[in-house]
Amino acid sequence: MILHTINKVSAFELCKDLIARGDKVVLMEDGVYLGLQTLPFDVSAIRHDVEARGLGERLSGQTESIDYLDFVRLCTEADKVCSWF
Amino acid sequence: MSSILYVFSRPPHGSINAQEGLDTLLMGSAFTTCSVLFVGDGLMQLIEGQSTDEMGTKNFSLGFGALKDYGVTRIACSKPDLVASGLTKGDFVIEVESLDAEGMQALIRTHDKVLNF
Repeated sequence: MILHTINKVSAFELCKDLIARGDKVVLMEDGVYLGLQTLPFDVSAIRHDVEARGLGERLSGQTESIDYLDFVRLCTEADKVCSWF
Repeated sequence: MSSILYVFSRPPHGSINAQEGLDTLLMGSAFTTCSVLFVGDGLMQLIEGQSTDEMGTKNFSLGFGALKDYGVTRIACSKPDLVASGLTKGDFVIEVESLDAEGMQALIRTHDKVLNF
């Protein structure tokens, strides 16, 4: 499994073609604003970044909230991590 | 040893990222199998005829000519981003293969590490 992290909205344009079916995507920092839209793949967002920006109730239904422990677990399960910033 | 895919995604002169990326790629290729993928504004690094004399900085685009000699395995760019940029491969300082989304995903899959600059 390939894990992609996105930390700002503009980085989505860079990586949207590079995310394959079956990959996992984590939104973090200002990247969590992407969680407001419906994206063409399943995403998780770091809860503390979401809450800090007042987006808790506003995320699209497909965006799952995760904590740092979940994020670390995803990193350890991934074959590689691609950071898009 | 791990193979590395370098993704170049920033334009050349607005920040140091692009030049640092090329330096890192050349360094990495001395040790292991490396490839490079240009996406988004990263394609602008490849434009032929850049002249930084008046700006007083280094025209590092000339360094791309060394990639083959350094044994960089695949030199590729995003086909959708190439089309969107209005450029053609004829505008570039070196020969690159253009890949669709599936080709780029395969490139990521077949390398052990991915570094974004």
